[in-house]
Amino acid sequence: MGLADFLFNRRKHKNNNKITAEELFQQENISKKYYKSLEKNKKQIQELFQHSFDFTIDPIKLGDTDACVCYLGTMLSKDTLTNKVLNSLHPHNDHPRHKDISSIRDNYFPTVSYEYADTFHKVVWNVLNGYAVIMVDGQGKALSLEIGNVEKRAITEPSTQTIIRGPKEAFTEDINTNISLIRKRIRNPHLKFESFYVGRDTKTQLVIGYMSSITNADILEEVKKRIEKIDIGGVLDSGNIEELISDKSFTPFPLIFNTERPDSICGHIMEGKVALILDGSPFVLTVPSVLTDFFESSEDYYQPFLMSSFIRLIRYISFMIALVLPSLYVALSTFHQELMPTQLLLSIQAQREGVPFPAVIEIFVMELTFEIMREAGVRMPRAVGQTVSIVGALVIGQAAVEAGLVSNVLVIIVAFTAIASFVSPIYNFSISTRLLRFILILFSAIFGLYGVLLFLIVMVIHLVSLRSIGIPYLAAVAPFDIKEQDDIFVRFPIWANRKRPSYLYPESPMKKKGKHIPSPPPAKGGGK
Amino acid sequence: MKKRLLLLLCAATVILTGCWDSIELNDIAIVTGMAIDPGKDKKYQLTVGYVNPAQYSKQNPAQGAPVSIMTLEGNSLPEISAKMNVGVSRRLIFSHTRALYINETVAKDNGVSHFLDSLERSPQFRNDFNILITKNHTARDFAMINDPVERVPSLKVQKSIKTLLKSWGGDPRVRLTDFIDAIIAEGRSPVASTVVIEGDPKKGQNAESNMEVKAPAKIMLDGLAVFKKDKLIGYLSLDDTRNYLWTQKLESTMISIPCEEDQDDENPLYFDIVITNNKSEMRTEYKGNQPQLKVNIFSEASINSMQCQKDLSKIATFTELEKKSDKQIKNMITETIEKVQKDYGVDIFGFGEALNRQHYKKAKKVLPYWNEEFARADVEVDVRIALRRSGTRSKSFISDLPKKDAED
Repeated sequence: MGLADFLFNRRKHKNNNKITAEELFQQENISKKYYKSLEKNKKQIQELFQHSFDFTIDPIKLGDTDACVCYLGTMLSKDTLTNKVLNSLHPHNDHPRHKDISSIRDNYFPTVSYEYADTFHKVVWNVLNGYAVIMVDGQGKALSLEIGNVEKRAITEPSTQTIIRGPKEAFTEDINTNISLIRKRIRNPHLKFESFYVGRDTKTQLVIGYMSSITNADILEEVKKRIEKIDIGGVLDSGNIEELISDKSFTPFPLIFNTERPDSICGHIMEGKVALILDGSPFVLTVPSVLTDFFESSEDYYQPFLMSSFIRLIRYISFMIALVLPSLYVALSTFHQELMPTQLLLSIQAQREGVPFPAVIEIFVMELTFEIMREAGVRMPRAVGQTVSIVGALVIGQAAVEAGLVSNVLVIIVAFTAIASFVSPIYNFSISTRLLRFILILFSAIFGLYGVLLFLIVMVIHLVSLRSIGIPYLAAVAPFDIKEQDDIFVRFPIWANRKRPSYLYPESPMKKKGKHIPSPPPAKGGGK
Repeated sequence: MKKRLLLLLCAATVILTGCWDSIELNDIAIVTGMAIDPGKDKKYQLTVGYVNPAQYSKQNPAQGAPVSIMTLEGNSLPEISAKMNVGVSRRLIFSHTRALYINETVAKDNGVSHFLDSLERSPQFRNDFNILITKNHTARDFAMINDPVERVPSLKVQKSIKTLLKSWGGDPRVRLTDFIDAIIAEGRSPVASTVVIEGDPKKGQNAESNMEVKAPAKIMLDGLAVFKKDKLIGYLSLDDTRNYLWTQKLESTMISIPCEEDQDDENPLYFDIVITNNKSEMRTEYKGNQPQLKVNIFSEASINSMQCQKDLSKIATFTELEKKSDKQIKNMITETIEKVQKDYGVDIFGFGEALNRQHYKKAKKVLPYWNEEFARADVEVDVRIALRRSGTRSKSFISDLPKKDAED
């Protein structure tokens, strides 16, 4: 079983999508055959699951036929198991002799959902997925019964992307819950969910969701191709997937959008994007993503369009502030004093009197301090979080200024930059500016405004070169498309926004057909 | 090979740049005023006034002078300013220079072109500082007079000029390049503002003078300095400056006009108009061999005060007042132009430039000796004032007073 074979097999199953247990386990050293003899099967499975305390194998008798129930006690609810399965198999029940496994199911478990496992691989897979597998002596296949799920987290409010108005649900770690949250919002048979399994060892379920009537077939094909190419031991969060399928890794900008808001994902699916839902991760990805996606919050569409347009502009401005403000300060105060108004220069100079460090060291130290505090604030236990804010604000800010180590204006700049960097609705976009900011400060310290400009030019060149699943990262801005500007920097009213983004090449480009504009009813009578 | 070349080009953009001159704010002294006096041993004596930043600190403002000055002698400005560090700890930054004081003696004897060249050549100097001719005192004194409000003297002068220009007019708004242009132009002679010190400059230098309600010394604007080429030849008063500005570009001014032409001197009555919008046009023509200078002025104005016993609710009153204003302003401006013709014989108004635009062929012939032509030219000023409003009152309460009371 070589790698070539492995890939070959994958490709063979590319289109029918239903991945079998055999395929998943072909890498493992597990025998494939399911024997007719119960003893052999028992021995086989016991060997496989030895040293697993939660693996149980209960011998039972169906009439005079030997049988057994095997399951992982931690992967299913034991109450349900007892009620649905074990009770009906109780020895004092009268068990007629059954010829085959299907009549056993019909008689004992007519209401429980089931699967037949005709290979040993499948038996193992079902056990691992929390099924109770009944193996009967003399039968060529086993009966796998689906028992209720294990404990999972309830649906809560999103913790990273909070909004004021709009749905308050967030995705959880359970993939079925997540899919139901999407299905609930888009009741359409064209909404498809295809399942993949990624991770050689973890065999994690990855589901792609899309509207078959909207999403461009080529994009879909490319996404599937990339998922099939994933070859890795284990994936634990959608962040892993993001890195594995994105077009380029050496970039500070996130090329794939992620959110824990179902409404946001539904919006993206309705535009013609593909959602990637990984089991065990509350963060769902959508591809292809463009830069402007990271400046959009789903709330933009729930608030009046004038307000949300303004707020969107604020986000772009604060992105620029978070990126260039510290370096602009360094450039202006150490190279281009003539560019500042006299009064401003005088007051900045007055504040810097007695500060022992050059401006660039000063700002580096403060930015670094802030980054350390931010990281500490994220990682530390909640209970001590208060301490950090007090220590940070008081000691670092106030005391440093009073001690004359840094100037007042610098504290303002660092604080303002920090606040501005939090404005981005998607967290991993805001961290990209953090990294760039430091490089930019360095550039401005060496080359002044010229360096800032040089860096920004290089950054734009880099941005233009980026692709997300083959779609230009700056799509609608570069290449510029005037028709797309109704939902980029500002948001037009919903009734005016009739087209889906053309850079996604949707199969059906229009969101709505009519040109309905809301207006008051015509005046009756009195008008004349 | 191509890649290497590209790499080299990219590296060049980084390496071959002129931006290595970084300097920390703590290491610069911001020069706000420069004063040029005749030197004792050498050609010039340059004084720079630079800000003492500790004075501007909010947390612990130092008790001291807001500016310090440094004076050195030398033969050229760049040399002196480079040498300033014999007594100044920091590098002088000239980009925020707000005022250039030129001693009248320098302007009269040596002319200004020698040092203006170095200012124009230097990349540090912006084009937004005021060129000021100092009268009566040395230019150095002007760089030292404290101001309790603005603290830095040069900032005070610039701000006061700017504000005056908006409210009354009185500064020709001449910048470095305008001045240089006027020196070399054939149809225009340069002008600059003049300043004087009112009070005792010795006392005004003391930082403690800021404690006093009535400042012991104050820098005041004093009108215009008239140049022939680059040499100072005389002055015009502040009123003449406003009239001069009226022919150029006047933003706004306030003028009081007597109610009657021949009113008794004991209790003269005036009304004020404020000019809000002004358009002036110069025409220069030749009638035979006689140059004719024409200024057409159209100004919109509104009434700001009324001492006359006139009923402003009638349109006829407006027409009457308009006519009075026309006449008064016309006389004022004509007087100023004729004074310049007679006393100095240089065309500071730019009639020659107007001729050059309007009658190019003639201008070519006469421009080389234009100042003589200007001096003998006929002047005609046509003023048209349009009174648009009368403030928030129509009739003045004065006109409602019983005639008798008003007369008493």
